[in-house]
Amino acid sequence: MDLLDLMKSSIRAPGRLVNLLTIDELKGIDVDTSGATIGALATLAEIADHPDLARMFPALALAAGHAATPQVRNVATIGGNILQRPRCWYFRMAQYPCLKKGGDTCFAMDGENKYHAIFENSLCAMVHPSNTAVALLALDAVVRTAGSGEIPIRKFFVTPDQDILRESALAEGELVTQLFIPATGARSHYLEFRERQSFDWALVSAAAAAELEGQTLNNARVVLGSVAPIPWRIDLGEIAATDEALDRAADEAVRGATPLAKNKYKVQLARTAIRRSLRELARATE
Amino acid sequence: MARLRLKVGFVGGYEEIEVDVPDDGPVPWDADSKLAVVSKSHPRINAADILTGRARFATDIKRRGMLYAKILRCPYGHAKVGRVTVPDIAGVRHVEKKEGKECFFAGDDVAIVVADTQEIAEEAGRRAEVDYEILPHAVTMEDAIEGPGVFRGGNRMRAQTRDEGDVDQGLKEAAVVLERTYKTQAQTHSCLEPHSAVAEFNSGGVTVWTSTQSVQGNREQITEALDLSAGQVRVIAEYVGGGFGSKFGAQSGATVAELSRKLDAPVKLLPDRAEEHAANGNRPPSIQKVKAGIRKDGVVTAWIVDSYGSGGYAGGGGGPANPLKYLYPFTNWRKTHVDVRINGGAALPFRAPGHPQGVFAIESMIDELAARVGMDPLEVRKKNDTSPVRRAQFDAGAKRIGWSRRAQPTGSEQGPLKHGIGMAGATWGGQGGPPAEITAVRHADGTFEFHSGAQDIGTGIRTAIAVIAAEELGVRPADIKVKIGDSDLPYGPGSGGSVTAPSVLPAVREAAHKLKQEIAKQGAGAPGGKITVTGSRPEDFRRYRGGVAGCQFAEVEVDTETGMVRVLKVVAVQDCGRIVNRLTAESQIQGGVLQGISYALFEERVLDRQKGAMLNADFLNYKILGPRDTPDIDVVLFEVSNAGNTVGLLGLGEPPTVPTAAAVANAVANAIGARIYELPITPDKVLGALNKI
Repeated sequence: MDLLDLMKSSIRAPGRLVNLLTIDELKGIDVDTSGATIGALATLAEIADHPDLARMFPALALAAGHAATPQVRNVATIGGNILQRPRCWYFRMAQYPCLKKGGDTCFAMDGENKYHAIFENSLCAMVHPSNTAVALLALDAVVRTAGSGEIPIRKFFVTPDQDILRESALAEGELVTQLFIPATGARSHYLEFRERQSFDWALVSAAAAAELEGQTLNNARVVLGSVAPIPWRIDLGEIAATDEALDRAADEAVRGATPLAKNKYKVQLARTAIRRSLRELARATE
Repeated sequence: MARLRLKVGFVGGYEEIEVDVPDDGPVPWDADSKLAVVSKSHPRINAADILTGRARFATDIKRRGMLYAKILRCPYGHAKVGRVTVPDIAGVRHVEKKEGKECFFAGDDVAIVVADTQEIAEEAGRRAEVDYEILPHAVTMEDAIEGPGVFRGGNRMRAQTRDEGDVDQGLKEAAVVLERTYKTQAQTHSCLEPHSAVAEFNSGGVTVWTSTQSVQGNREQITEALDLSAGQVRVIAEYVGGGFGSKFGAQSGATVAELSRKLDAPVKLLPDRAEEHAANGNRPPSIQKVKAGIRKDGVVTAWIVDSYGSGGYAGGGGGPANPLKYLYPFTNWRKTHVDVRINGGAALPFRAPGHPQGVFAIESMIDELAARVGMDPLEVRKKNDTSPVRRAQFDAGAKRIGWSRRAQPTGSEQGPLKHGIGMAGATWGGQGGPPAEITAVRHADGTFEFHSGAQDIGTGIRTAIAVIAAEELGVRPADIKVKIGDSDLPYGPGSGGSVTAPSVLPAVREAAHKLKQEIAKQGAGAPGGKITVTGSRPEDFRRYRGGVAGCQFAEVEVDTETGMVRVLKVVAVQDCGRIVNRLTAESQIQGGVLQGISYALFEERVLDRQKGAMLNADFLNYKILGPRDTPDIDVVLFEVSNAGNTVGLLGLGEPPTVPTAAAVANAVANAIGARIYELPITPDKVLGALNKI
C-alpha cells in the first residue's frame, strides 16, 4: 500500500506502524520450470531487471520497469504496488468526501475526469493505478497471503459495486506474502501510453498474453490498465494474428465503454493499446 | 570625454559608430576586442559548494531556539472563515486566526500556527477545525466571463484598447482573413526551493534569510511592513533555488520577521509544494481571439486581438498580447484586453510575462495565414519582421534544423508516426541600466574580492562578476572572491526583466578598472596594502539596437493513433549581446527551452469547478517535463556587438522561453495537418484535432 502518500494526504493516520521490511521470507524472486514465485517485498527494480522474468514473463518485467522513477522503483515493492489506493485526486483531497471515503458522491462524475475510468464507472470513476497488476492479471498469477492462502488474481481486485471502500479482496489484517505466476509458455507484452515519458501515470496501459501457433493467437487476452476501477481483462480466445482481425477485436473490446465528459480520448487509446500489444505478440520471434 | 569609433553588429552586418566615453573609464569592448576570459566557458565558481551541499539556501537555515510557522489555508474557492479551532498540542507556541475573513481562492490563508518543530506545526494545522461559509465561485475564465458576479465590482475589469492604423481598411486589403481563438493555461513557477524564510530579531534589528530575487527590495518591504527604520533590517539570500519571477514579494520574510519580533525567537516558514502551487504565483491563463488578414505576397494587413487574462482573485492578468507590437510592427492593428478575476491564486511575474502566451497565438496565426496564401511561413516572417538580427537568425536556424525537409507534404509518411518542423520568433528587452554599485577590494595578500547587493537566482551572476573582473584585472575567475545576496552590500537590482547581468557587470568593469589604476599607482612589485574602490553602472552611451532577438525551431514526432507528442530537437538561436560566460549562457537557454516545452506539452494548473480547489498541487499530477521528455537542444549563441555599455551584454534569463511553445505548436500542426489551439498539447487534444474521438 502507498501508506506514506496516504498519510501525507491525511487519508490514513495510523497510531502505530509495523515494519515488514525486516521479514526476509517476503523477499526474493525464484524462477523454476513451474513458474515464478515473487516475494511481496521484491522491488519493482528487481522485477524489471530479472533476466528470467524478462524472458518468461516479459509483460511483468516491462510493467515494473515503466512504473514511477528509478528512485521509486528501487524501494517500491510489488506487494505495495498492487495494493495502492486510488490515485484519483478527489479521493486524495480531504475537502472531497467521496464514496470511497464513506461519502455519498463521486466528484469525478461531473468534475475533472480526464484521467478517470471509461469502463465500470457508473458508481465510482477511479482507475486502478497499478501497472504490475495489469501484467499479473494477463499472466494468470495467484496471490498468496498469510490469511486465506491463495487468491486467483482474477478474484483479487474488487469493483466499487462489490465493495466501495476497498480495491482488493484482502481481509482486514491479511497480508500478501507472495505472487506466483505459472509457466504456461505464453508470450506476453506490456505497453503504456502517457502524457509524459518520465514519471507519469499511464493514460491507458495494456498487457497482452497468448500462445502463438502459426499465425494464430490461442487463449489470447488483453488486460487494460487505467481504464476501470480494476485491471480490465478482455478474453479473446482464438484469434488470427492479422491486422484486420486484431483491429476488429480491438473495436469490439471497446464497444462497451462508457466514457465521461473529458475522457472520450481514452477509448481511442484503449483500442490502439489492444491492437499494438497483440500485434507485438504475433511479431515477436524467439 | 573621448570620442571612440566602435565596430558593432553581427556576422554579416557590421557597422561603425562613434561613442563618447569618459577619459579615465574603461574602453568599451566592441566586435574586434580580443578578450582572454570573457565569452569562454567557465564552470560556476561556487559549483562545488552547490554540489556538496555546503551552499546554504534560506531553507537550510537553522538558528538556536528557532520556532516553525505553518500557514493554514482555505480548501475552497470562495468562503468566509468562521470559527477556527487549533488543537492544544504540546509544543504549539502561538496561533493567529483570521476569523471572519473572506477567502477568495483555495489556498488563501486562514490562520498561522507557530510551534517548536515543523512536525508539530503541521500536525496542529492538519487537526485544526475551521468552519466555513461556502460562497459562489468561478475558477475558469469562461465561468467568470459568462457566469454571475463573484467579486464586488464584477468579475471583468475594464477593457483596455490600443491601436494603430486602420484595421478595417487592412482587412479590406487582405486576400485571406482568418479568425481563431487561442487558449493558454495557468503555469505555476514550481521553484524547487519554496518561498522559505527565517527571521531573527536582536537588539539592532532583524536579520531575514529568505529565498528571494531581490534582497534589497525585500529589505525595503520588510522595513515598511514592520514599521522599522532604515538600517534595522538585513536580508540575506546567499543562494536561491529558483525564482522565475515569483520571489520579489517579501511576504514570507515579513511574516517571519513579525512573528520573531512578537515571540522573541527566531522563526522559520517553509511552505510545502501544495502551497507553492496554489498560493505562490503562476503565469496567468489567457483566451486570445485573433482576427488577421494577409495579402497574397505575404504582408499582413490587419491584426485584431481581443484577449482575456486572469491573475486570479487579485486581478491583473497581464496582457497576453504584449509582444505583438514589437515582434511585428504591423501597420494596422488593434488589441483589446480584459482582465478577468477568478477564484484562483494570484498571478506573479513569470519568466517573460505575457510573452509565451502571446507568441503562441501570434506565431500560430502567422503559420496558418502563410499556409492559406501558399507561402513558406519563414518567408512570411521575413516579409513582416523588421529586425535585421532576427532575419539573419531565421537563416541560421533554418539551416541547423534542416528546414528544407519541411517541404514534404504533411502527413505523407507511412504509419502512425508523423514528423513535423515548426518555428517561432521572439523578442525581449533586457538592456539593464543604472543604478548598480560595486565595491572592489584588493587585499594586502593580493587577493581580490567583489561585492554586489544583487543575488544569484540560478543564472550564474556570481560567476559572471568574477569573469568580468578577471578579464579587466588579468587574472582567472577563480582568483576573484564574490560576495552577493546580502542587502548590506552595495546596491544591486532585483533580478527581474533579465536586467541583473547588464546592470551589474558594467559596474563591475568600472570598479575593476579603477582598482587596476590604483594598483598601478602604487607601482609594480610586491602587493601593497588593502585597496578598496567602488564602481557604478554608467548610463548607456549608445545602443546599437534595442531588444533581444531570438527564434527557435522545433522538430516533433506525433503518434496519430495515441496523440502523444515528442519533441525530438530544438534549435534555439539567441541574441545575447556579448557572451560573458558561454557555459551559463547555454545553460540559461537550455533551461528556457525546457520550461517552454513543459509549458507546451505538460504543465497545467487544474482547478475544480465544484469546490474550487487546485486538484494537482503536487509534482505527480502537475507535470513538468523529465529527462525522457528532453530533446536534443542545439543552442546557437548569436553574438551581437551592440555598444550599449562598456561590456555590451544583454539579459538572457527570459527571452529563450518566449518562442518555444509556439514553435512546438507549429511543428505539431506541420506533422499532422491539424492545429491545436489550446495549450498544453496533450493526447486528448491531438486526437480531438484528428477527429479520432
